[in-house]
Amino acid sequence: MVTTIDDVASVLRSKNAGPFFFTIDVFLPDKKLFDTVAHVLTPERVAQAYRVPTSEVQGIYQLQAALAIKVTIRKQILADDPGNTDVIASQQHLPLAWIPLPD
Amino acid sequence: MKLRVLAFVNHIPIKYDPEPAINQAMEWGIDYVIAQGTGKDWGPHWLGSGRQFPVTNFIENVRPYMRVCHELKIPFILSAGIAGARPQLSECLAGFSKVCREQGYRFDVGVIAGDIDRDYLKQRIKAGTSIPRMDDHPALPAELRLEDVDVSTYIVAQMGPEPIMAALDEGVDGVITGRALDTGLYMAAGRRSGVSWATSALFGKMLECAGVALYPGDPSLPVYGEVHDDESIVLRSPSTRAQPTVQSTAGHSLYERMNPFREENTNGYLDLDEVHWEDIGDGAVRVTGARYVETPYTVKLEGAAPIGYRSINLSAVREPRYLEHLPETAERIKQEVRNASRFSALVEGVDYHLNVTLFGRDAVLGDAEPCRGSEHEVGVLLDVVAPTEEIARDICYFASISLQIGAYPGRRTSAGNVAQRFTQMTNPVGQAYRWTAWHLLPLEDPLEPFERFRAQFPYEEGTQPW
Repeated sequence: MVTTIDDVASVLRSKNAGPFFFTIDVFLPDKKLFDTVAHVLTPERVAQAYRVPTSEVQGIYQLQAALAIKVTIRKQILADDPGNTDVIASQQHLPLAWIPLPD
Repeated sequence: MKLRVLAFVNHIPIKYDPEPAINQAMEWGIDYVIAQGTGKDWGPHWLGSGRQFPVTNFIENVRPYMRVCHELKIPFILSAGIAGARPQLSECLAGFSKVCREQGYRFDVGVIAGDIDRDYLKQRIKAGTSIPRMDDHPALPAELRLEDVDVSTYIVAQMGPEPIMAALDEGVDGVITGRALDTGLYMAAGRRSGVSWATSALFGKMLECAGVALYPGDPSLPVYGEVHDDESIVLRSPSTRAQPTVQSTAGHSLYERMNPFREENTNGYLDLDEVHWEDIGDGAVRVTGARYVETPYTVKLEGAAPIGYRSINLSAVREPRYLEHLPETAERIKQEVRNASRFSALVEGVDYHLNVTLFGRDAVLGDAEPCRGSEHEVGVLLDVVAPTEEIARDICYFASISLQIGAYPGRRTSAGNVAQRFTQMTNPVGQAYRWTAWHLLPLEDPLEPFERFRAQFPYEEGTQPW
């Protein structure tokens, strides 16, 4: 079984960061897993998981005090627009959740 | 001790009996009761339409906390109305009056509208003021233009702490605002209590979403915050259902933010780079180390304009043969609408939009969905946006019939292809909107564009004293 971010995160959530971006917060239970996940989460890897160009990944931030990593991505379809299916972007953490971790 | 605040969120329904937590906070001592009730998370519809969540929600969330202000004679600061434009503020003020009448409270209230006058804004643009977009997104013009102002149904701005401080300085019992900066409500209390900008901003950041900063996070729970003489912040939970922890409070600085180290305010930004969270026992967390970098004063403008009327149809497909052919069915339906003589004057994607969303098949993650093809039933949402409600309903009806009785390879279901959820095949859900303004308006005087008035609550039923 491949271990993924989903298997190790204690909190894994996504939400709008304003109407034009959404942001994913990953909280890890310890420093070792924090370092492992932080190493895996590059703009290129995130862009690949979300099938967007790397330029759509606005930033990846590490907050050591909370053992948390934040990933912010530009929204492709806005709330109210035709075709939108996630107004506050609450289900957009999953492509990141399924990124595998090294053995 | 410089400041003690009881914080809640006035648009989140109260789940548990709030009285034990409120009594605990009153025992600790309270200088202000503060609660935000505006936000843009729910999309441009609310601002554009002027509509409000059920005002009963505001009434019942605010009611128990107003007892604190009545009994302790301490001020409240509330922002109200979700989008926070004039119609929503008026509705909430009427609701607030109802609470006062029913509970027997009397309050002298400073009311501050968040609306920005259209002519004022156009004058600023004509005078050459640069009003840049706040977020870099292709849906926004780089600079706010006259035509963006003209097409917007409502334009509001997130007021900073200064108009609230001005109202409180006039001696009112409390303040109710339209659209405001959430943290600004707390900064107003902080600045009036001799707290630095840096600590006031961090204090606001920690308290603005109330129980979201606790473990387990629950925005329906209040939070209690203190600013000590040495400017350290101490957070406590008046409820026994949750506690602040280092991870929950530090983690809260990430919440809804693009960048966890920088929180933009009207007159500068909060730098969280060196903030330190510490468990000091007794269920309390101490937070220190805020820095503040002053920048030229700006308020964030928000505007929305209609893009058309929306009508929807929801049904489900269980028949395996139809499931197999659903992807091309969506295209077939669109094609049939395009080819219908009654819609020949309308161009898809310009005059109207017809979207077919297949719930159960990649609806939520789209192209990024890695799991494919295991569903045994799929919900089909037909989503039409068109220039009038009549056209939207007609396209929606046409498309739903096309889905219901259209042909597909191997079709045997000649009496109907889908399970309709609603007897009303076309469900009008009001107008759809887009953002027109998400821009930064420079101000020399932070009070300038915000209309402020003073009213006695409760006011006489059937009247409106503003």
